[in-house]
Amino acid sequence: MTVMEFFGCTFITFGPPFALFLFTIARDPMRVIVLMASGFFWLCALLMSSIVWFAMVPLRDHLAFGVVCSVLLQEIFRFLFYKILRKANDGLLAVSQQTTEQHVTPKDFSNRHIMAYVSGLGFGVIAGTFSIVNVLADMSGPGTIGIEGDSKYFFLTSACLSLCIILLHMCWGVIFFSALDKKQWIRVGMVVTAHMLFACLSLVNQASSSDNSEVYLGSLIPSYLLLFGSGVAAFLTAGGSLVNLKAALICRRGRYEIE
Amino acid sequence: MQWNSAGSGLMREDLGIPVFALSDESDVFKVLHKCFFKFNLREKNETAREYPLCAAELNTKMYAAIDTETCLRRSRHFSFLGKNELCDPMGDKNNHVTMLNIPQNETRADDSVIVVGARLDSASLFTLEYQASDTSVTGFVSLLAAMEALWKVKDKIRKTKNAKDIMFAFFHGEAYDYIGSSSMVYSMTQGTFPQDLDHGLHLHKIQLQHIHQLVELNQVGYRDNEGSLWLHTDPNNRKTKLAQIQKMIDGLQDATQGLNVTLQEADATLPLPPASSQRFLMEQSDIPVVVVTDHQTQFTNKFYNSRLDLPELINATDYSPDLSKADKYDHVTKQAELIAELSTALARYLYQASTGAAPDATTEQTLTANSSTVTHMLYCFLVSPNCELFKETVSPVNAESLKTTVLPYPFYVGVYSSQQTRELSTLVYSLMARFTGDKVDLSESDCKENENDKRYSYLYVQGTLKGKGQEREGWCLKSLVHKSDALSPAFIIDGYDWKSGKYSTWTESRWGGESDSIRVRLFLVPSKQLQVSILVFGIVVLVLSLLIVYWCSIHATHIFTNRLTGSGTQSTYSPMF
Repeated sequence: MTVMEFFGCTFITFGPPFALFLFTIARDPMRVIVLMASGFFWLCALLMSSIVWFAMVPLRDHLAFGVVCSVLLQEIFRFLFYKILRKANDGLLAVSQQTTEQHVTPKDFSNRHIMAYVSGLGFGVIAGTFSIVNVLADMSGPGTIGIEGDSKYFFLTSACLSLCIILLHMCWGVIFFSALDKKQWIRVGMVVTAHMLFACLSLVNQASSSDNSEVYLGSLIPSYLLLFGSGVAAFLTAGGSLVNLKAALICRRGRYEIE
Repeated sequence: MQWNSAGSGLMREDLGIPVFALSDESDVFKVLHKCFFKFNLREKNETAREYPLCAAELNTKMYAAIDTETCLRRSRHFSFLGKNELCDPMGDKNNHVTMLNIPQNETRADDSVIVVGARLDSASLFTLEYQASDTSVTGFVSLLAAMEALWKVKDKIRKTKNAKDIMFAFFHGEAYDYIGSSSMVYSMTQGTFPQDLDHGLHLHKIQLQHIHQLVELNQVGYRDNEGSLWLHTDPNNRKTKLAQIQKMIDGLQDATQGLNVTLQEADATLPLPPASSQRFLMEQSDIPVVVVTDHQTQFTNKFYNSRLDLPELINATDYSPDLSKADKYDHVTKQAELIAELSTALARYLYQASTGAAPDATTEQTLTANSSTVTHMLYCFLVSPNCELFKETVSPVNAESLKTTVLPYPFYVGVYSSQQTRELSTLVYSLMARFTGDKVDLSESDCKENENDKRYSYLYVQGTLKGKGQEREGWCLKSLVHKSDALSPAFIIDGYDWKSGKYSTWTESRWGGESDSIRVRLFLVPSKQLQVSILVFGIVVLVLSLLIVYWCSIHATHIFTNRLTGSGTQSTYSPMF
């Protein structure tokens, strides 16, 4: 009965990541491997945070404690993954060279932002999946939410927030890795702060009810503003600029001009 | 003749949807206040409420389909996992006890057994919901009380020369086309009643020709203003056995003298109302039969076989509000008094019919049913089985499960199992052993059937409390009480024609297991509008992101100036790259 809702929310959450995977990752096996590996690291972070949550018996019922703890652990594991990826760089380079005589460094390794982006997306996809998959399972039928007085926009909000965290992780991956490369600790701190901000914003949603659906806007709007900010920062970090973007937009015409 | 005009036949209707009964107040509250009133109830001038609407999903998986014949045939199929049983025949155990212990090597004269019977069960759609107060409880409790009274003078009857044997029979499964009585009649014709043994000392066979007369108690709880009961006979039966029937009616009416119970003869042209006796008459039409009920034409019980056949409606729970639980148990209700009078009359009649002489004054005094036992039985069967009478009368094994029981035991016959007996039948069996048996001095482990003399059954029950402690005395009861299968002959006879309609062919489906067990879910159904908008939004997000990412990926080299770290070389954009 609620199949349409189910598919709608699935497309919202996983549409953009799917497009990114399809056009930028799927064609290169090395990127797929790194994507999976970073997903695995996020899972390790989840495992650690659940152990901590489980061990802290008196704090189990306090959602905020679990959230803060989990955010910190996720960032620690992102750092660990960065370390390992950089250590494995030479090895990865070796296996991706197809002939022994190949002297050109593959683009993926010459441009370090690519692996940063891939691992950020891996983090994001698995985080987003874990945040939405239970909700999706309930959404598949036969009913929708609301009999206990909850807002009917819960599913839609969950889907949008999951999409947001996926894309945020992607941006943070780029910023975080580049900041570590250049030892810019302030930017590392900013990523952690942004993550903490996003996580704590979602706590606002607890106040929602069927008569009070506007509460969701209180977390959705700041979250997407944060995404916009992070997106711009990551774009600039990766070497993009407004000028380049304009050039790309007119490139078709430009191509003929060059001819 | 339509006996139960108040009945709607709803139980036999195929509704095509699962039906659930919610008896727990909190469940009902949830359905009404969290679901129906809040989301679905229409205002006066409203045509329909707006979405979201509240809906419920009911889940009951039953394996059987179509009819008994089909499901039994399918049950015989073997799969690699073994037998795939889909349904089970309904039935349980009948209980009976005889006054005389005639072994198989003595003679039992024809027309020498007086059979008194009553049914145990009621039809039921939801196992624990049907209390069957008048449908069956009044009848079999009256019979049990009469039994208790009669066995006080058992020695007198047994000593009387040529005294007729008296058999008390309790039929189970009668609500489903007379499973119990047809089963007993069938085993009588097969010569396997009461015991199917061919060696050792056992009871003499009782066959249909041995039956001298049959008195049956039906519903006796709803009496009219004069408090009278009706004696029904069968017109065909009257043709052949008029003299004997008249004698029975006179005898029964004489027995009520001085008692607060009136027995009136029903119109002789009326057919016999639905009763277990029908099964005996079908097989042998010349057994004189009298059926005692509380109605002449229409049922006075408007809730025959119904969920509303409650003890409140037959004054079986007329407690004043300040009574404690223990006082309620001991309070002699109006119905209990009425039943005790009837039982006394029945016991006196049976004494007279068996010995051929009216009881003398002292015997008559002894032959009085105990109204306090009757009220205890009504309390235990209808209000709470966790009562002193049942505690005393169950075996130590069953005592544990009795402790945790709150609701009265179900009056639904359920499916037949050769090993297990329903609580109802077990309790009636134990009560019969208690009322008719002798306490013998045997320990719990020694209290079992004697290999050489199988006429007697032995039952170990908890007994009364010892002094003030929690210890119970423990009685070993030696009695002539026996149980026999109440399983429709349709499932016994090889090649029985299922369409013939001769015997009951009721089966109950097997139910879904753990994963798809019985459950109800309440939830909201969202409006189509909201669903479609979410879907459209999702599709738009998907398509847009595909387009944007595709565009970005082919222009990546334009957008991102590759600032290669490490090597320091700056690669520039080249359209030819």
